[in-house]
Amino acid sequence: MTPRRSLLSPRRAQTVARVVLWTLTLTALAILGFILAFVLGHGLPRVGLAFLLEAPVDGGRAGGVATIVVGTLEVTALGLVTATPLGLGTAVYLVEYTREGRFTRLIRFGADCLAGVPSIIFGLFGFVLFVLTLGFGWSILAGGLTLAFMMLPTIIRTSEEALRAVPAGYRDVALSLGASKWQSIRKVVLPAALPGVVTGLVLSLGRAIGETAAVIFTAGSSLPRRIPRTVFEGTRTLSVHFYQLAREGISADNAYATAAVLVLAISLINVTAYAAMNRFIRRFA
Amino acid sequence: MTIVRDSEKLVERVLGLLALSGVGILAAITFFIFREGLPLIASAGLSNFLSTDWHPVAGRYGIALMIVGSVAVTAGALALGVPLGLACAVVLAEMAPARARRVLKPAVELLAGIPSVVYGFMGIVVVVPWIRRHLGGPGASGLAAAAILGVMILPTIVAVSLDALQAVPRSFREGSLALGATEWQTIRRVVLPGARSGIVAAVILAMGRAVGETMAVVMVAGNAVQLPRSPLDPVRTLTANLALEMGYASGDHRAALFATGIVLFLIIVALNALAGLARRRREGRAS
Amino acid sequence: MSLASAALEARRLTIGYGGAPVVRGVDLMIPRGSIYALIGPAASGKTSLLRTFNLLALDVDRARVEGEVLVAGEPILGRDVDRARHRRRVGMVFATPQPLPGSIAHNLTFGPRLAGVRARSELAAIAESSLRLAQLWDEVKDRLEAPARALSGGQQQRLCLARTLALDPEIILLDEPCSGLDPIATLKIEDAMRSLRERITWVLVTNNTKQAARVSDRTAFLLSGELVEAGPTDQLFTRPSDRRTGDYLEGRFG
Repeated sequence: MTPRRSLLSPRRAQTVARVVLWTLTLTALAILGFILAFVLGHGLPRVGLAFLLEAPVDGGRAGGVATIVVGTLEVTALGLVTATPLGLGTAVYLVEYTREGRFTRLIRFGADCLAGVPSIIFGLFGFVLFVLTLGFGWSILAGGLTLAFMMLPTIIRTSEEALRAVPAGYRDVALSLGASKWQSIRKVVLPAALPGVVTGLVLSLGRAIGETAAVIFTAGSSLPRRIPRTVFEGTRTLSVHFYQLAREGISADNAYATAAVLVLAISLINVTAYAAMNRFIRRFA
Repeated sequence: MTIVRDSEKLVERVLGLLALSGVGILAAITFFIFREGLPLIASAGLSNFLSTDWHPVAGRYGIALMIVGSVAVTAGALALGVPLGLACAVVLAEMAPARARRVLKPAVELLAGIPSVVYGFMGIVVVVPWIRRHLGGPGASGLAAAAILGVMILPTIVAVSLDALQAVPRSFREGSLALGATEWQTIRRVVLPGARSGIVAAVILAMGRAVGETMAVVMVAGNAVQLPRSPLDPVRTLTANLALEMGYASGDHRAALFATGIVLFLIIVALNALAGLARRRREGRAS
Repeated sequence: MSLASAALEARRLTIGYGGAPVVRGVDLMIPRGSIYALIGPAASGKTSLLRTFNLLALDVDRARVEGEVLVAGEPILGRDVDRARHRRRVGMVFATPQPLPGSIAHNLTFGPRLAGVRARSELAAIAESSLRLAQLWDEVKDRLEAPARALSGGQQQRLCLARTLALDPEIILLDEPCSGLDPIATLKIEDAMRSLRERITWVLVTNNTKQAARVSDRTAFLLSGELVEAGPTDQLFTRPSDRRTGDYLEGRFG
């Protein structure tokens, strides 16, 4: 038996380690749980149908968030609708129609970097390009396009990984049964990759809804008094609204309520997406 | 048969166009940021740009103090988030019953989706007053920002580290336990080293998010352009600087903001390159 | 053996992937309505040869191919050949059973649907007849909508065979189809091959020389990309004309 250098026997060390680890873990979970409870606890009681269906009044001090919700949906939808075909198309082309080499590795690295670039930089970019240079002004168009550019790298990467995860044998089988290349992609590869692709889309959607820095400088922060009808109108998204309420100290109640709506919406999107994905996988796999 | 052929060619061409546009946009964003920011670094000079003198009105664009702010706040966030997050991941992966893991893992991933402004709000309402009352100072400080960021990166660290730990083959653990090691010895000597690159990747990812966070930091960090002498002093980060000044900056001032964007971009590139290296080492070892 | 009865013919076939060619100057003639075995040690080029016969090597592996391959007298290596249609005439069963995600019925009707068959009754008839030919019908007739993944390995491989038969091909290529299967499952596949010898020409790549001896009419021995010798199976196995063939069959290398 070699002499032990530490003061604690292995059994004692294990007990200490367990205590420390569990303490840290419970602290971490407590903090996260506290945040959730705090926001939802203060906010949920104030979220009623009225809050969701009324327009904001008096700069947000009263009323609800109806027009803001619509504005948020419009900006986010524009972003998603623009980024998805571009991102998915790029991924399909890269995986199925090009050979792996230095060029594809460069694109992958570039997409990874841009996926990690702070959103404020996209805000700056969108501000100068869309709001000023192209003259869109603070608008849903500027905001939506900026969000699209922000989501593009993530959608490319997650779609690419989902496509690469499809076993090579599937493609061989489809081709050997008489499918053309596009038929094999459309009927076998894409359906097999769909869960991964949709997960990536949902992730991007959640981030887009919670996004503040990029939209505040492109879609603007004007409070929409009625539902925005064209893409050239400016709007405030839910997170921007929340930010203004919080920072200006306008109405703590409404701030909590808005936060609760935000958290619930994002959670709902994630949960339904995962549930739908599981059902899809069970049915087709 | 040529009809089938033509539609195949058409599909390939459409996809190629989409790919060209997609990749083109990525390149354009990068190019745009550099094009707007580099001229300022060239004209103002590197010594000006990296000095501690930030007075845009007088043509001084030194971002050193903001760099210090970003570094301090990120370091503080990691100091808080990594131990807590790693401990949480280890407990969930190795010590908690499977049922707990099945509930908590998705819960933690859900928390990763909470918008940063909500964390910032918690900072304003809970953390800043607490610091002001119990530790002194204005409350809005580097410490507040580090605390909020630390909590914000917790879900990321837990989720990614958890995946890395669960990826360590069960045979490793069983082999160690069969040799008479305790559970903690197994974790410390076998599991954690086996998951090292994944955990490093988690930390790098969290670092990237902390550096890039804007709104929450703006809400609680105080935003004074000064050298912080203690954690209780207000600081301004690179990202906060961008957010605060973008609305009214023009000309050279705005170019300086783009130059700051270049710095942030390069930081992210460096972090991603590091993460790539860590990943390649893991793959090299596993094969 | 006249050319007219050749189901597949290869002339001076050379296949490479950028470096040294893995198949060099192979001349083969596979008569119609027979079972033709390709044997040889690993990396002898057998799989590359097979994948060139159904053009997967060109589309998927990006191989560079020189020489000629003729199926029923028609060249297939040209640029204007309809490759999808070719693969319906020359089917393939892979080494690991690869059922497509979905039901058994989905797997069976995948090929015919792509070929334009729409009527549900016709698809059902094709599915049933293919399953019968692959000797799988009795085992799965009550659960055609069940996921294909739920079948055992041997059943999955017979499903893959049925899937290929559903297209009514002239030739079926098999790349070590029984490598992961137990002896009973292997026998069932060999039975299916024998029973369909009249309708279909089988080209079987196998590492198992005993299987080749058991089931094939003619055998070709490949070594490092070269066709060492080819001939009637009995003759090749008992009186090989090349020393290397004898060495391989006796297990002196492999």
